[in-house]
Amino acid sequence: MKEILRADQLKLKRSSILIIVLLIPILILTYELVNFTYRAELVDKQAELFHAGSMWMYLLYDNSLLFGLGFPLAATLAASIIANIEHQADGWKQLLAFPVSRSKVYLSKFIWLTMSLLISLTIFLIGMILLGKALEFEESVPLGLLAGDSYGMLIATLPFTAFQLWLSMTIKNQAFPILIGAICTIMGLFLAAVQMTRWFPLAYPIQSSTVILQYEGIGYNTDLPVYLAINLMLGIALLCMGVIHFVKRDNQ
Amino acid sequence: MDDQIVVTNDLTKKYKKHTSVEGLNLRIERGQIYGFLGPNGAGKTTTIRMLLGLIQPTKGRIELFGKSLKENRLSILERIGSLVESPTYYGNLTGRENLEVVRRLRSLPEQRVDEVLSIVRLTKAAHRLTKEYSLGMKQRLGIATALLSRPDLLILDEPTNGLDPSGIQEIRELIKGLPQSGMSVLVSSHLLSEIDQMATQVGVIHNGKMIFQDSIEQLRQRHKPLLKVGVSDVMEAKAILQGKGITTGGEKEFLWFDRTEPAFVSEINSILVQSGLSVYRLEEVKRSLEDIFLELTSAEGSL
Repeated sequence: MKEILRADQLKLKRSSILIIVLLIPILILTYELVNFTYRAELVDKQAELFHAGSMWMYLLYDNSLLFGLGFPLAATLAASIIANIEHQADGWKQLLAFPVSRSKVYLSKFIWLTMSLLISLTIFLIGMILLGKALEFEESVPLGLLAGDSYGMLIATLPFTAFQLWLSMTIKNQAFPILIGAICTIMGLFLAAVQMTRWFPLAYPIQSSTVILQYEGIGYNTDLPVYLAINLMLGIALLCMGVIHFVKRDNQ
Repeated sequence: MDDQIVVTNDLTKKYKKHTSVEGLNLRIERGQIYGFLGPNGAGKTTTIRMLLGLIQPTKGRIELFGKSLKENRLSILERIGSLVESPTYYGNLTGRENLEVVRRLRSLPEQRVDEVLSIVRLTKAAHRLTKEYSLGMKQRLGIATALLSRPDLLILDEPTNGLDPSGIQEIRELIKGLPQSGMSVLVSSHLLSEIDQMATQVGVIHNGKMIFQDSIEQLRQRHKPLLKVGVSDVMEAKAILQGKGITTGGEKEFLWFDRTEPAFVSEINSILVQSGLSVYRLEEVKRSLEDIFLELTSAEGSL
């Protein structure tokens, strides 16, 4: 397994995966920087209105929608880039004619996808802390909340990520998986808006912030552990299905 | 049967209604260069993909190195190097890095990369991105990748595609030299002249069926040169020769014989001349392997 991972690592060299990894954190943090400086008064007023426990919580609440929409899109693109390296190189036939197990080939791609997303989330986490420090938030850094918000997203999007990777690996034309990924992300937004359908796993990324706006104001998201538990299991199940299909399929 | 490197029994691949490969019995022994010949779309690549376990056969058995491919895929692939159709190259990597990917994957010694680079004469271009490579260079990189693990069986699908004449010559010499180190080679091509110059064994596939499989000499033997005789009156000449007990496959203009030894030729000539016919042509017609190939494939096609 280590050999495949190291080989796959080299394939990512000079690829555009780095752009995707940086894109979402930078976009969202830039937006928040502008929001907290140019609209500072409005932000203060709203934070008060929502009874935000701290400016940190308001920041988390404020970026949760953008993050919930943006991160699945980043996952879609990252999956597409990682799979497309092989499509473009015409590499499947060579890779699978080597003495390596197909499930390990698939898992290696998944691990690198997860790694890229993990790096992206870490950058986001560090970025949020720096942003808060730069804007001189009075309260101490709620590391648990921030980390939960960032890394929770990885698990909340796990089924989606696993599905997108399978799509991108199976279909050569990457326009299709990217379109599906974009549609699913938007669907998640609509599903999350309705009480009935917000329990559909596709709607979890939008709702997976550690804080949410309730009647009494911004508070902790008590549904989050349930979301994460469901999507962790669903994600592993989808990953396994992807592996099984990949092992059995003919490679043209 | 240690020396049977590749054995397939009744190998068949069907895609819905279309049968791509049908009842193929392939035999390759150690040290052979097996030329796998067939027109485009005959099923060469499909067969090779099945040999490499890339696609599952609909029916039939594949044995490589005396072991069933289905049960021992990984240990068999360990001993194979392959280049299937267009070469694989990661355009964002240099030539050396492309080989490094494979070296890491198969945990091979590092100096092997330099060795294969010099074998295919890519050492100078090793540090250029492969997306800037010409087709011939990509093809050579593909061959280098196939050689990287010092395989016992090398499977090359159309290895000279896109190469210039000197490149073709180089690859041909390279392939010819491989059996000396105990390697067996399966080379596919749609060009008979190509196979003719390097193979020791030939398998001809057409419409998914093997229509000929033997040594290259057998293929040539099977179609010895013919004697073509131009004579003033074909009908009469035929009758005269018939009387002497010599049968001929005469056509409208010429008489045809399947023997060309000098004694036979002069005998025919003297018989005809003495019978008062004028002989204006005695010609030995050598049929190229192209003709033989066309004949083999068209005979099959007319069935």
